[in-house]
Amino acid sequence: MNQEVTREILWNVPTVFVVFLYGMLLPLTAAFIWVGMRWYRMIRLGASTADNRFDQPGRRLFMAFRDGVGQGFLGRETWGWMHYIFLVAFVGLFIGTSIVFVNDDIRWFLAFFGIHLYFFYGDFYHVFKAVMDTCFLLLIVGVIAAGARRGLRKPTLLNQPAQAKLRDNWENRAGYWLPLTLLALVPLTGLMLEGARINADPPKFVEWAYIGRNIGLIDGALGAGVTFHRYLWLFHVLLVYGLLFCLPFTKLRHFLFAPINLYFRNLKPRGRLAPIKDFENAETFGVAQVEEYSWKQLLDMASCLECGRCTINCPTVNTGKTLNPKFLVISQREHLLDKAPALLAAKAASAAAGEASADSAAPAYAGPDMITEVATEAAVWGCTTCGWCEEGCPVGIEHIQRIVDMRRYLTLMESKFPQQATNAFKGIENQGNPWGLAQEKRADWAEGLEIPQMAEVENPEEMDVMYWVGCAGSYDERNQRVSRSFAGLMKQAGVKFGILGVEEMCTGDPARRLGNEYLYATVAGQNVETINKYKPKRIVTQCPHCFHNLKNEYPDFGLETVEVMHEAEFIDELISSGRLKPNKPIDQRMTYHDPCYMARHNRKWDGARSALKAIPGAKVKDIDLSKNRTFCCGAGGGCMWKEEKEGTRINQKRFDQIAEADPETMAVGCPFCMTMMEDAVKSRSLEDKMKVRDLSELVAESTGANVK
Amino acid sequence: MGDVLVFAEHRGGHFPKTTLIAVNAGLEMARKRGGQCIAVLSGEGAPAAAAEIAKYGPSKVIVLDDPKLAHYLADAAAQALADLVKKTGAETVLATATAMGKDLMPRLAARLGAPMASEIIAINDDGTMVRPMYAGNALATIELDGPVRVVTVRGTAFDAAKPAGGAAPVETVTPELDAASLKMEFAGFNEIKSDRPQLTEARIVVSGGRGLKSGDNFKTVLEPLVDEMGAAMGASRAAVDAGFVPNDLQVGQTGKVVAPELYVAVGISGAIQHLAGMKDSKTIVAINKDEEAPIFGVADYGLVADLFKAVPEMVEEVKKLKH
Amino acid sequence: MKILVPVKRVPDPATTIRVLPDGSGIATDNVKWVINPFDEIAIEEALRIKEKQGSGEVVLISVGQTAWQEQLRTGLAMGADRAILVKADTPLDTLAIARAIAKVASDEKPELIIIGKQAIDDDSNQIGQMLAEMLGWPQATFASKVELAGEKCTVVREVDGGLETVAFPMPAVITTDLRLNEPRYASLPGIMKARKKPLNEIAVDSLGVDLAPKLKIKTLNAPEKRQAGRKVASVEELVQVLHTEAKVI
Repeated sequence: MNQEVTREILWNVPTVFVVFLYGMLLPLTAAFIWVGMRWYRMIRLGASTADNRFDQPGRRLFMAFRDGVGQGFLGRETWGWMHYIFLVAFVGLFIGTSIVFVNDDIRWFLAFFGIHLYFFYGDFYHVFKAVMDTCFLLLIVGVIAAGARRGLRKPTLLNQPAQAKLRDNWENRAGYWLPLTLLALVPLTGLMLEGARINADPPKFVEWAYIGRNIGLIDGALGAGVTFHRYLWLFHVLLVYGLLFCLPFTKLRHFLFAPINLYFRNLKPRGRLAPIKDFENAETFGVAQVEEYSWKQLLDMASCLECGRCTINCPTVNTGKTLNPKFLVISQREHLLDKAPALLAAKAASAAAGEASADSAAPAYAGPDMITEVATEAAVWGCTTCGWCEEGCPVGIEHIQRIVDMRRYLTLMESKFPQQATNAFKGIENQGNPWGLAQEKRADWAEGLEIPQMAEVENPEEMDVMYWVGCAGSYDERNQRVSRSFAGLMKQAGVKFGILGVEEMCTGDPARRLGNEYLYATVAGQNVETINKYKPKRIVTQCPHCFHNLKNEYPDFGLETVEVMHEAEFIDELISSGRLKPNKPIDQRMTYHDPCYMARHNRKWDGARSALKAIPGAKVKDIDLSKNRTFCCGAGGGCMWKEEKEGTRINQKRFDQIAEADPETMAVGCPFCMTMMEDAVKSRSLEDKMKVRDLSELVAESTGANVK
Repeated sequence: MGDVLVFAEHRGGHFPKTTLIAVNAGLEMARKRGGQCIAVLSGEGAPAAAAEIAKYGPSKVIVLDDPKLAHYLADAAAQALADLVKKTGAETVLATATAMGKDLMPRLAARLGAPMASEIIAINDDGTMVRPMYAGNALATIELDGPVRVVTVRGTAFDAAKPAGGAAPVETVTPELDAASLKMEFAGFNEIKSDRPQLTEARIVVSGGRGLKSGDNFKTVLEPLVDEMGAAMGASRAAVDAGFVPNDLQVGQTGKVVAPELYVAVGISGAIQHLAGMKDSKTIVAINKDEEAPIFGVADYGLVADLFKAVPEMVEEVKKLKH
Repeated sequence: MKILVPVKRVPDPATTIRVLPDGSGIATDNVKWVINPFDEIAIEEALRIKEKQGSGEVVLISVGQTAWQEQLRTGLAMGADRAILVKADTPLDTLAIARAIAKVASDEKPELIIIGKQAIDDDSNQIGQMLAEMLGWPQATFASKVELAGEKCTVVREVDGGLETVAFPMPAVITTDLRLNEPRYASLPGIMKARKKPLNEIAVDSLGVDLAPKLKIKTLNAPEKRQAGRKVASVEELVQVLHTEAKVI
């Protein structure tokens, strides 16, 4: 290999410049440490997390690597390629700089220990040149794309909260434009520098520097020489440091925080809320002060890179409501930064005063109230907990718990919640269903169907299935028809199943999502006791919300291990095992509207589709916003039980998305989607053109199940 | 003897139909208890109303005359009536369960130390009475002990008295009042002028749903029926959502909860959030073209018909009934 | 200001009431018990007055059995300060209940008694008015607005055909109508605190008032079963049945 094929490093750079180059590493390191400590101290202000975030280190590391370095999240969204380019070019240039560092700066140092590392020559040098030029080019292309998107296309997801919510400082004023500009100038001057060197130093071995070589020709034509190169070098170094200082001080800090936040992310099922463990001894419930959030929730704030992916298919953002998950996180972060000095001072004071008066030092803070002024109550109550924000977020921010924590405070501590929710709470409390209909009528839908109630069965544990009907399936006339269809299907398939009848109560889902954790704990405890008594092998629900509660949340309340299934999966199982035979054709175009709590929160969407496709004649077509990208019907998160006053209606928005596909039948798998979508069909006056039907109704029609 | 004092409510000399109902119930009670029916009036315009009431069958009409009684106030009226009970030795004091009757009679009962039966719907021959409890889910047969009894009757359970031919004598009595103990003062009456009753208080509610297809149809099709029936107008959430009518008309889980005697659901399919707001209505009528609509599951009377034909017909039929 | 609020335990309005076959009462096995909704409005109004004035005491009183403590605790959770349960093991008639409450009121000397206009079980609508007479106080039934100014109380009442305003000095009795307010939902700290608030029991016999029953319920019958819904063929028929059968028009 030809050791001649290389270049002199730091050619034409005066010593004083070199001293500057290395000297600046000190303040840079200091800045990183200072900023790191600052955030560390702020994040430590937070409470402990409800779940252990230090378990499963291997899995956490793998996932942080996959989604952080590997950008696992970004590939799913438009413009993700742009960020890929940044990352590839940035990492490429970082490696390039490291190679130079190894081959020059520490080469002599390593040689002292007998390690000889020098490979910056020959073919490697050629390739290196080509790769570096490409990285420069990519970075410039990426920045132009980012700038065009930000400046010309102005996508709404990049909107910022109102100026009043942002602290007035240089970081917020500079926004993303400063780092982005530097990100463009660094590769540009890098290329120019290469060209200047090639021009000033007679060209040797530059065949592969396909860009620098040509710039060198231009420089030559313009008469630039050694001096030009020297000062251009200094300018380039200044820009590089500018960019490096942006890393800790601007929104580029996500580069460091994102992998950390992804490491500590929630490993439990999405949408599962953490229980309040001790009602008896706690003094406050929920979160009203920013420091009452857990350290992970504060880390979330630090990690937000303001990309706005949480808003893309957020039902409230898309119907003109106050709640914008991105604005919420940003506003709360700004609030934290504003309040932190007072909090840290109070913490230091109480630490100085010793243990005895640990809780005596209240922070002297006169800023805005977090819930009412920073977040606003309209935003807090707007959320349908559909989980899009968490699906979209590339850095693992947990929005739902953040919002429900504030609801918990308002509901439990202040009894301040949308007035109509009172009826739902009292209904659940007194009659075990949010409509407040008589508990004793819960099994009326099954009259004449000869469905055994668990209490009357001799050996309840021998039942194949405990059918959890849910409140809508029990009381709502429309959804009672679904219950009868599903029961008919199970009978036809010869499934041995029973219901709890009047022993079944609302899972408490609406209460929990609306922040009434106390009521939830009460009904969950009662339901768990009832279920455990019968030791079911398998529970099948018709309602995804019941499913989610039973499967993901009731174990926290003592539910013994039991398989929980949603009707879609179960019907699919019965069809594929040949116990149900859909043979009557339904010649229709169909689209399945995925319920958030099945698709997004529990990653289940295949069962419904294969069950529908098993119906002869059914032409099932998915729209773009389906499966884990489904759009909320507007009923989740307790929103079924309150008025939707702001903006346009979520159910209509969703309906219009589906109507695009022009189905004759919209299949649903959730009683609340049923209600919302039927309302939407009516409000669009399309009752004659499109029917909303539950999956089990469609399959029952095709199998000819006896449905009374 | 089983004389009955009937408190004859009036306002400035004009009495509502409920007063004639009280007179009729009083006559029935007196007949069954072997006594006389005496109507009692007080306040401004009482002599004029007394002369009129006298034509409806009571044996006697008494006008309680005292300046303290000019405007009805519970404390003064109770004292005056209690005094009259002593003076006449009546066995039963009876009124219709109007706002005034309900306000006055328990106070009178307490003053007399007498038991009281509220809102009776029947008088049995053996002296017992029947009254609904638990919002009409149980009918209690009750007995009142003691020399004096106080009763209010439910207006819808008795017919109004009819002119009996001739007129009973009208007498004026000055009751003994303990003026020092009377502390209440009348401070004004604000008559609700609206032709339509409040949704939550109306005896009849007519609600429209999506089936009406437009806000204009609420005006041109539904409103005539609402007004003809003297009803309040309501709407389903779907109709509100579609922007046909304002939200304050919404009946349902997230709107107003109503329990009128008659609820007419027009073009409403009967989603549960709507049913939750009207399920306690006494009689429910549904008009819908969809035979399968869930509303028929709760309706006492269902009519499967095109509402645009049926509603105008109904206006005509109700009109006929009135004339 | 001290406000006394009488509270009754009644079946949840959603409960289907079933009359026992022997006519002796209603079946109570599946019944959920709640505070009488109108009394809940009364508690709310009392709490609002106290909160507005910045001081005072809201005292709840029930005349009933031990189980009624549950509803008194619910009222305490809403924010009332203490409760009195006048224990009576057998049901009393309205006159006796009013006498018992009036006796306690004459000892407690509240400036106001606020009570629901009627209980949704017996629908009597009597206790408030009886209390006013027994105590010799003014009364305002069916209140939809209550305003206090010094010793004087002004109440807007919902009467037939309009709103009547009456004024009087306190002490007085006010009975609440539906539109007076929206009762609050107890906060969790409220529920926790309520467990420790005083709840005194007094035996009704120790009050020395006449409890002799004068209103006797001979039997209870279920009303004739509401006819199962049926379809009518024409508008004419519909209007006819509404007139002659349902008697609603």
